[in-house]
Amino acid sequence: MTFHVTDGPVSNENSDFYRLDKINKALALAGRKMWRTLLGAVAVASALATTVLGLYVTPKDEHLGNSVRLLYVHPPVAWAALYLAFGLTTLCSILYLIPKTRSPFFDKIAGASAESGILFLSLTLITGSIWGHMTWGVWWTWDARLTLTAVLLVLYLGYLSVRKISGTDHSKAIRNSIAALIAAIDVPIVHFSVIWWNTLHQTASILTPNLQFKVPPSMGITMGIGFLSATFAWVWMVRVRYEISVLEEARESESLTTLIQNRRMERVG
Amino acid sequence: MFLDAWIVLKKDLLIEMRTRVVMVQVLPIAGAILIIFGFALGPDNQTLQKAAPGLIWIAIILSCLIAVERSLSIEYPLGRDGLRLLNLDPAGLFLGKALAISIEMIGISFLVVFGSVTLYGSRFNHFTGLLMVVLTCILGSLALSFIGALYGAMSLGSQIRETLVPLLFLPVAAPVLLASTEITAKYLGMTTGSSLKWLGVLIALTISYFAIGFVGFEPLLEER
Amino acid sequence: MPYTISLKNVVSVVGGFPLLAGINFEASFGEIVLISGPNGAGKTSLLRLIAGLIPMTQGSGYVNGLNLQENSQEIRTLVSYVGHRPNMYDDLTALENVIISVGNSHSLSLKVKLSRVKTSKLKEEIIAAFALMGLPDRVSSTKFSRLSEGQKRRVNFIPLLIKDTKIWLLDEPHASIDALSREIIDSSILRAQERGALILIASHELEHVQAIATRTLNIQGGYITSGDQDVS
Repeated sequence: MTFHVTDGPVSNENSDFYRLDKINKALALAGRKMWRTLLGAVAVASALATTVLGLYVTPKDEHLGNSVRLLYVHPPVAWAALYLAFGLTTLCSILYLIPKTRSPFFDKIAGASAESGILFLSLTLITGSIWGHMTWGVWWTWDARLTLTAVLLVLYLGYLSVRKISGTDHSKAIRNSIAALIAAIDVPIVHFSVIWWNTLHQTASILTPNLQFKVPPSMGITMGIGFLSATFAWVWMVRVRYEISVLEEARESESLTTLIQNRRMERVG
Repeated sequence: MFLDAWIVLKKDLLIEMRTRVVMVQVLPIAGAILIIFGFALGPDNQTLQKAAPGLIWIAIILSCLIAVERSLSIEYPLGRDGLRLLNLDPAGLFLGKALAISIEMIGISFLVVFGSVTLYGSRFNHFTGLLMVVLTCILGSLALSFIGALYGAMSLGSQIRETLVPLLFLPVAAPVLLASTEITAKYLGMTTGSSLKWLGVLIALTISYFAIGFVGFEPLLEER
Repeated sequence: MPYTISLKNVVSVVGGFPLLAGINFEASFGEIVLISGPNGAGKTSLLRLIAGLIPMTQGSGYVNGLNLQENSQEIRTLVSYVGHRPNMYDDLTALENVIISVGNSHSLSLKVKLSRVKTSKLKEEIIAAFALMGLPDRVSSTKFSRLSEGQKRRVNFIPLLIKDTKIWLLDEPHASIDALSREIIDSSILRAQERGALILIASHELEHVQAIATRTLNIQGGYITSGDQDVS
């Protein structure tokens, strides 16, 4: 039994693997790594600051009591999920669908962003639910925003499942982008119909809490830091997730050359 | 494109006429859903009538899910390869598949509304009410079929199709459910006020789901 | 004359597995090429690649001057791929199935469409093709699922005859069918060759196909090991 693995070279000058290897090397550059660490550090620090300020420095609200402290968490995570994460997913999906700007980079970022979006959206739901329990005594109300958030969560969980369907890189990316676009188009539709539906069926006015209380400067600052920490945490997550997907792909592609060699060696004689 | 849509539509309806799967399986499922809702909510007709608009549309959406699944399983022996080998125009294929589903669904939705009238004692508040519900059934069926056919194509050939299609389909069916239920509720005399807004939502949904499917079907079918 | 099919270092990866691992292959009109090799060697994959059904991950490939990567849809209108499994709906009759395959907009060139405005003429042609494939009239109106294996295979060839495609990709065309069907399929292959078609046959039945093939190539491990004109 002899193997002829030398004839018919596997061309790899312009192969994905070769390009990815370069990206991989570039990513490993120390400077980049430092930026990532710095980003993570800022996220952790600002989250800590929000916690300390929110729990110990800022005062109780005279009407809302301790539940006001959720304001330092809930709006920031909602902002990160709805505007940052799903906004970026939509933008990147559109950029992939336009042939001129098409690049695997956008597909990976879209996925990374949606994944972090799911996390932030779940946090939004959980903190919203806690808020609801503290102010209205119920974990869930059919408030328009709460309902919309729940539908969104399922919508983007579906998107993440679509990302798992197998196929070639390009057909996968196209499929992902279309799924993301459908989700994005559906957001305003669900938004308006849920609001109309809610106003139609509204029974109590407690659903729109009166937020016209006096805001002491310490509260404003804490909320601002809360927004910063959610934003930094989100950027950091997208970055790390993107790097992971590049490494995943690089690993797969790297083994591809070996796979091709192995495949050729299947022959006998 | 229209030629291909016509071919696919004719083919799907012909297969349905020969096998009667939708008629003898999906339709009874819709009926069974209405009946088990009756069991769940109790025999009190007033409760049932109040819930009827929502129940009607839940029954329609669930049966649409099954009809979409059936429409996909017709193509199963050929698979994505076979479909591509037929060289049908992708937009035509989408239109044909979606219209075949929607024709089946329009029929089913009429019968579900009829079922609600007989089982729950729902009454239309006047003749225009009947017409409006019929219109809602048509628009709702179209919107659901368009998005169902698109998601079907998206998951064709995937091992997780059976679970993926409902996960994708239900959230986008939610606004259809909201709009259709509100219109139906109004004309079954359960709510007052204008339903024009909801009709607008339903039309917007139908158009946008159609547009997405029309444009998105080709890249979904291709593999490069 | 440029080759009808020309593949250079073609790699096709599906689901992380290299189905084809660097194929070099050229073929011209008028040839009947037998592709032999053990199971899982890549025979079917090679045909599916040329039919534009699986992607070309690396390398370059042209079919009738069209780039495999960019023009797979146009290529599919030029080639006819007949797989192990008939590409037909069980619940439709043989005739209805054929009409779906040949009656759609991409299958017929505009010229052909204009000359066959009357669908009745197309139907006549289809009936004639049924006769040519040795299928009696009643077969055309029988549900596809009720036909015998050999009849199914023969019905599957009818769209090729009607469309008169010049590139045939046949995957195990002789497997598990009766002698009569084999004979009829062979003669239709030879007729197509006479009309200048290029026919690739992936088969295990070397002796049988070698009788009609103009050359044989062997594929193993997703790679052509012998028989190609120039392995570079």
